[in-house]
Amino acid sequence: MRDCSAALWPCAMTGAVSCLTGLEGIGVVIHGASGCYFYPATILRKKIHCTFLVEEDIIFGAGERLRELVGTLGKTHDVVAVVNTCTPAIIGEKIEDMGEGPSVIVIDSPGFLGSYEEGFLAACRELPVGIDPGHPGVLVDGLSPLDPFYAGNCLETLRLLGRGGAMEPVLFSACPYTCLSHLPAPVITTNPDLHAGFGDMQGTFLGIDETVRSLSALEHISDNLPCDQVEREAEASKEEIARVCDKYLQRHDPPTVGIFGGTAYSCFAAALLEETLDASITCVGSRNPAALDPPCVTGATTLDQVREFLDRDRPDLILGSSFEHSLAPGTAFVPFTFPIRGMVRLKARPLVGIQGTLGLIEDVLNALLDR
Amino acid sequence: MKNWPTNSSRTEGCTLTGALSVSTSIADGLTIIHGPDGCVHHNASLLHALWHENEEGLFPRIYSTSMTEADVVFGGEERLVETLHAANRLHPGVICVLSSCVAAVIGDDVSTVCDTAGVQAVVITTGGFLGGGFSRGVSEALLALSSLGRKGEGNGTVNLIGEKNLEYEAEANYEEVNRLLALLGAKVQLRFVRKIPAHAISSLGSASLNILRDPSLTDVGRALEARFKTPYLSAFPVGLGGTLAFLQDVGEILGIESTDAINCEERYQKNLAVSFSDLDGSAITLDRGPVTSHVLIDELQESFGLVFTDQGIPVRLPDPLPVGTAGLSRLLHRWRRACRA
Amino acid sequence: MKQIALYGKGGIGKSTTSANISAALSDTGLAVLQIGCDPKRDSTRMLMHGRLIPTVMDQVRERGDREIATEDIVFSGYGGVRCVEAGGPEPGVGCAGRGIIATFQILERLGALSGDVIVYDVLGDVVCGGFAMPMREGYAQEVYLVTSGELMSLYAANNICKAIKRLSGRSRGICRLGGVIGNGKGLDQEEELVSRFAERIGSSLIFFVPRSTVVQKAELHKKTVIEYAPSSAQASVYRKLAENILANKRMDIPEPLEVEELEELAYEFIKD
Repeated sequence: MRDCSAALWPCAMTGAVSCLTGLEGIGVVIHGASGCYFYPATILRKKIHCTFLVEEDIIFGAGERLRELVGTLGKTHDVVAVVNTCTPAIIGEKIEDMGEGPSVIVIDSPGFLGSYEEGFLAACRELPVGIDPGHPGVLVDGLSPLDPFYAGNCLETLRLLGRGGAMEPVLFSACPYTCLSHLPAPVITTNPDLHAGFGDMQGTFLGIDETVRSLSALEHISDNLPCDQVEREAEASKEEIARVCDKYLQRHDPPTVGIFGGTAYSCFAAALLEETLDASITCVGSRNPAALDPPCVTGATTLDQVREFLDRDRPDLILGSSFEHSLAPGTAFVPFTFPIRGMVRLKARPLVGIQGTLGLIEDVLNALLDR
Repeated sequence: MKNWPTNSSRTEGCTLTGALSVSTSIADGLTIIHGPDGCVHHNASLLHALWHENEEGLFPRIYSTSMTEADVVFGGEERLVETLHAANRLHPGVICVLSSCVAAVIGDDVSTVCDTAGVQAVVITTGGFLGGGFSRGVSEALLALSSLGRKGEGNGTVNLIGEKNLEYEAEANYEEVNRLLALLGAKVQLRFVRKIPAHAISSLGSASLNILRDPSLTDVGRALEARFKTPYLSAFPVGLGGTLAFLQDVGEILGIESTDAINCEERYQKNLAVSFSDLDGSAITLDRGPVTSHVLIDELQESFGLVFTDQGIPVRLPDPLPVGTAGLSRLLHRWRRACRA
Repeated sequence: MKQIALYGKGGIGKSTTSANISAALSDTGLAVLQIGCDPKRDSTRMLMHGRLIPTVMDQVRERGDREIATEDIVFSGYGGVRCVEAGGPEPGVGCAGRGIIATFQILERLGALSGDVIVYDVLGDVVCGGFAMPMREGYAQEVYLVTSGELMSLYAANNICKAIKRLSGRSRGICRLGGVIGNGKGLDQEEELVSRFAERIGSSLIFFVPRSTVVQKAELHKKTVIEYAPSSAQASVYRKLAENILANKRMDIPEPLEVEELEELAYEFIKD
């Protein structure tokens, strides 16, 4: 029987918009009604434009309205990206033809096509990307403005790669639009779920060992990468983690943990907590389950699925969104995926790199100790 | 742009959000959205955020028919039947069914599916943005749910119609109206619809007065009057004079002598003027917000000595306008804070 | 009030048939309303002496749906037949089906759906929910299929049967198949074929309209046959058709044929 309870993950349209708003210089237009606009506009807190369609536009065609908005935005932007929503997509109006005016990218990822990741990657495919083999830098992808770790991951990446002007990282999606035409070939991802597919993959920054490994893979490209320095930092950090985790385990049993979020992040957190705290992972609930996921991953895309896992396992600790938190308000909780409601979060928190792992362990232990 | 119609507000949000703001406030209810999962997530997440602010905890009970591209092409009515049966297995107090713009544009016939599926449901005409905007969604939800009301004789009580469930100060406004009604010795029978079980709606027709939250619900007030013969007042009270008039109107309709209540409220209002006497002569500049009320501005000048100029302290009238005397008092506290800052 | 809808393949002569039925009915003193539900907006043209009247959707486009009055969209044509065209977007843009739905909402709000008979003339095929609108919500209770003996025309009629069957199976579905109107293209044994088709889908042939040059002549004069050549044999045919429709009490839930059955049926008549 199909599970009909509320979906916990946004739609493809939202994913596309998230991707595009990270690119400076693009005017992003949602071609749809205000109801489709408000959610991405409020959750992303970025300037997004909208054609604000009403019924009459659907009957007579909304092309003129869209052209007018695109024309206005073209005066202040290098390029305008139009993200299509369900109803204009169904009536199948041709929106590619914007006539004379600014350069326009059309992303046809209406909500009914699928989930957030699919829309994010659909936007990646439509962007006019060029790889420049002579580019001395590295492309870091997987960065989505909707991600609660977005700002933190950007900062940690810059810290690791840019130290001492070692390498010129291009962050995707967190760079000027004009960078896209000459991207560096080597790629490191901060989130394999959102790997855009441009360039040659060198590894990820999820986890301390992975970070060191990925950096060494880049060593042959740039000889002034601070690999030794990072390795020393990595070793010291791992010792610190071992120390605090040992201390915790002196007084407590290893926690049982339910993890909810995107597949890549969740698998990373599961492995980390097993390794460092000997935690028993009751559930790796993925918001974006795919056919090739490791066997430990189960789909947790609806409220009833999550409720079932939490009722079944009653974990000591939950990593997830405020949906999970509100289903088990008494359980130790670490905000791990959006939405994160009901708490103030201002500072940049990374999940990747050395600081990301330190931050996660810190949050986990504090949440467990505060229980 | 040539004569685009101006009959609907382009920016007020989706009928789904409006209708859900009503239907999800039925504590034991379940709402089905016939549409793609994205619509459900957007709205559920929004309600979840607002409920969090209002400390109502959990998560609205919403089911999705999860329409996909294949359903768009071949029609999504079977999905709706399936979802109705799944919802029914939980035995909710009431099942409400809303349709998205996707369902509306491909022409899925939600009413007929619900009629024939053998599951009792209240169909709320929405159609996503194709059915209008947020406020239309609110009205349609109230109208549809009123079918659960039974006819009855006026029993001297009051129903509150269409409280703004997404409003941060909804409970405070309720308390203010309740306080005013208590001055007259009148009682609220039904909050239609806010935090009630579905069966409570059956009493809708037995109150002697319906008080609408604001005039945008006049259609609803009229429909209830036609069906249950219950007279209505078109808004919660705003302003000093407005609050006194409210007491008088309620008294008249319920056949209660209101002189004492009005005198009592007038004393409260005079005390308020004294307690804000420090504001006398303060120069303030009203930001052009979404709402304005000349009557209210005049009262603020006359009763509190506020001076409205172009170079004063910037303040704003909230949307919606403050309810009753207590609402005005809280507004003045905020303005006082702005004047002192 | 009798509400009938004519459905059939595009170009089969629905508009000509509808207009002549409306004209013939109005001659008997009945108050008739004809609604063209096709963006190409020429259903009522012969009743209006060649004039393409402003459509409901034109008016919505120009002034918004709340500003429309009945006289902006309902025009009086031959014999006092009230004519409405739903209209719609330019070809290739927008959503015509949604326009039909909006038209019905407006007509209902204005209380314009009145009279003794309403004739709905609907675009070729039920391609999306919008074009099923006249059959839904109790608007058109009787559907008449207009078809010639050509296979593609029968095929379209058979498809529409599927929609009628589907919609009539619902508790509020009061839409039924009233019968089949043959509109001759001059094929051999055409009336027999259409009649057999009607039987096979569980319905009956209401009347067979033979091909006639008077129809083209009348159109060149921008009139219905009823008006242009009232004493012609073709005018009598349309009058008889209108009479049969008015008198028809037989309402069926059709049983659409499988494609193979339909082809076999057509084949029988070619072979002979």
